[in-house]
Amino acid sequence: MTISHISDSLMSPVAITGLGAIAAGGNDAAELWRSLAAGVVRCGPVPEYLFKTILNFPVFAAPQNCLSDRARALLAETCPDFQPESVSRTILLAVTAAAEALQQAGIDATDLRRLRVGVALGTTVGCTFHNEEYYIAWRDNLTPDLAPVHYYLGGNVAASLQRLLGIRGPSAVVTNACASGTDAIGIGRNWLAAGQCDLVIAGGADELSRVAYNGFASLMLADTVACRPFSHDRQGLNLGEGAGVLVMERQESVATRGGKVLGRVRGYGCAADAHHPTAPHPEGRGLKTALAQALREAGEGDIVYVNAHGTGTKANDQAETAALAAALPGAGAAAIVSTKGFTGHTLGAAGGLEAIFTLLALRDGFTPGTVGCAELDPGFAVCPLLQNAGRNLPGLLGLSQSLAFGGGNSVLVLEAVL
Amino acid sequence: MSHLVAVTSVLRLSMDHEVPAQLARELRRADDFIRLAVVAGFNALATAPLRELAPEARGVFVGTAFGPLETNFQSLGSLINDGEGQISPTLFSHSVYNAAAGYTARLLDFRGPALTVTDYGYPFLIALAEARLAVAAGRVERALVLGVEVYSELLADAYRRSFAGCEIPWHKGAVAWVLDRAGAVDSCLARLEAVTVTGAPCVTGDYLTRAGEICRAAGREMVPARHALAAVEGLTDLLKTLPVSAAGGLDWECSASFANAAVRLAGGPFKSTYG
Repeated sequence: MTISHISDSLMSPVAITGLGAIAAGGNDAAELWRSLAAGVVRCGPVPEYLFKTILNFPVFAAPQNCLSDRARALLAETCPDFQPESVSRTILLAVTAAAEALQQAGIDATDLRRLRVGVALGTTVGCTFHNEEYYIAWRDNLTPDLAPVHYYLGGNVAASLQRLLGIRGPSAVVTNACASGTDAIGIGRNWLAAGQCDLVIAGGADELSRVAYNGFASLMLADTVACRPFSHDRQGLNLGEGAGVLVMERQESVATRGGKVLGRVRGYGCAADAHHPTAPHPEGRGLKTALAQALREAGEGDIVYVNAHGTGTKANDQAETAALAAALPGAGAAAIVSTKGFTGHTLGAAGGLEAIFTLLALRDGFTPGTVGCAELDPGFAVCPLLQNAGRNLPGLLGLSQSLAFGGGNSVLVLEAVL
Repeated sequence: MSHLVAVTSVLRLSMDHEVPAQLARELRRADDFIRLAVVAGFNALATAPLRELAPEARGVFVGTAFGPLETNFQSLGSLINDGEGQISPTLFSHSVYNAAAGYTARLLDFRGPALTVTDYGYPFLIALAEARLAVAAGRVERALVLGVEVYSELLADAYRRSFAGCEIPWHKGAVAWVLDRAGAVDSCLARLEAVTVTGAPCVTGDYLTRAGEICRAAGREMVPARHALAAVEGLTDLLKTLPVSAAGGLDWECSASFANAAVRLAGGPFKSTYG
């Protein structure tokens, strides 16, 4: 049987009114977009301000000071006693992106207190306990100071944003591995459509961590040079860090307050491969289901742009192109790109950042090519754009999609509003 | 218009459970977090109404406060003991929070949404709320909702040192609920009408002590055991024992320093416009 009739009221598009981002390539969404268009690649050894390593897998690190002046100004109003060192780097990245998105949406501290504000954020590293000093001391039967335990308990990124910004409403930290940010946006869309809140801050944030860095190394999924998504000679991913956050509202709310709509979430799909603990289904089984669901929700319109997951691993890029060829009508005509050659794989942040790149490309009517891809893998069923093959976009509808450990697949259909 | 949502099976699982023979091989390398999720899901489905559903019409929703914390520490230990680049790939992949949802989806053949949410307050209820929306919207026909906690020895030590003389209040365990589109089943435990969770700022220690937590239902107040699954274990027991339909519905509320939660359960009718 097929999935039954989809309820209209719970599927209605929601408006995007603010974008905020930070990653290796820039400190805000506009700078990131300019750097991406210019082909800037800030990929290098792990900086000492993050952690020390003897491994030689390069990363895309955000600046050491990742709390923007804009975020500090907002926090001065909403949480005057805030001390940056009291929270994780993941939370600082999230606050920086959220402050930018809220400012663009025209939402100030008074609005945040007045409205029912939902927070849905994806993360992977941001929810774990990785304090090695504490762990070693505890393992050696010592009694280390409990501060790291309380730091961990205070580290839920959505709850932290609620506390720091003085907001009340539904909150969720989505821990769907590399698809977390995409799912968080989908969940935020669902809350708005169901009337559970007036405004949603949604996306993802993740810092670079030594455990994740070593984990990907041990899985032999990391490349020793800058990654080359979709390339015939790709050897794996590079980890990155950052945050990408959208502000979303119901369309009628934006009209009432005289806000500006940048775009819309038209559809969301999420489906499991049910295939393997870490590897994607070779034909992208779950991704095809997620694509079909998101496109069904979105209704009519041609997809002209696809921001693919495109990690640069052999298995991901093969599965993803196979699924696009099978499940996306007109896939051959769409501009398919990966932006991970520009950001690295930012794990829980990736879905948020890539949704923003999707919207910016659609609003500009132009996409740069896939950074790092000079020659395509000839085995693909569709042809992503090469690095120097930027292209004008003849429409306003695009996809942002994510694949994850555990076989998760998530897809957003986004529409630019000019 | 949205579909009515029925609760068709609920259960609690503790660590003394038996692993069903048909799952034993696939779970031999799984950690407790994954094993609890899969077995709780399997057992809950065994008592849910039989439905012929496409795998894509079934979704898994997992909520957890602490995730696979013990595996997280084993992974950290592997890095410290074995050196850089030597973390066990299995340990690392199992330390990712959605590993349990992935295993459950694979072993029970659920190919709709597989979502994991993390929250120190009421993670199961957040997952339940997302699952209810998914069924109500028609994105899935059936949702398996799991709350799983395994805690860790490190956390237990921190608790003992913080609250001298107190027994560790938690245990490894899981809660599983099955939700179905109400119009598609002949009977159910109750209709799930609403789930809300609103977080509130608190001091971090409150997440361990569950400060001020009180549940109210059917005219009674109850202080649950001091752990992240306790309140929903109580709600699960209530749902198994109380004839919601005969009682004309059940409003369950839980308040604590860190969050307020409410669940509205109702009796029939179960058929909706789209039913």
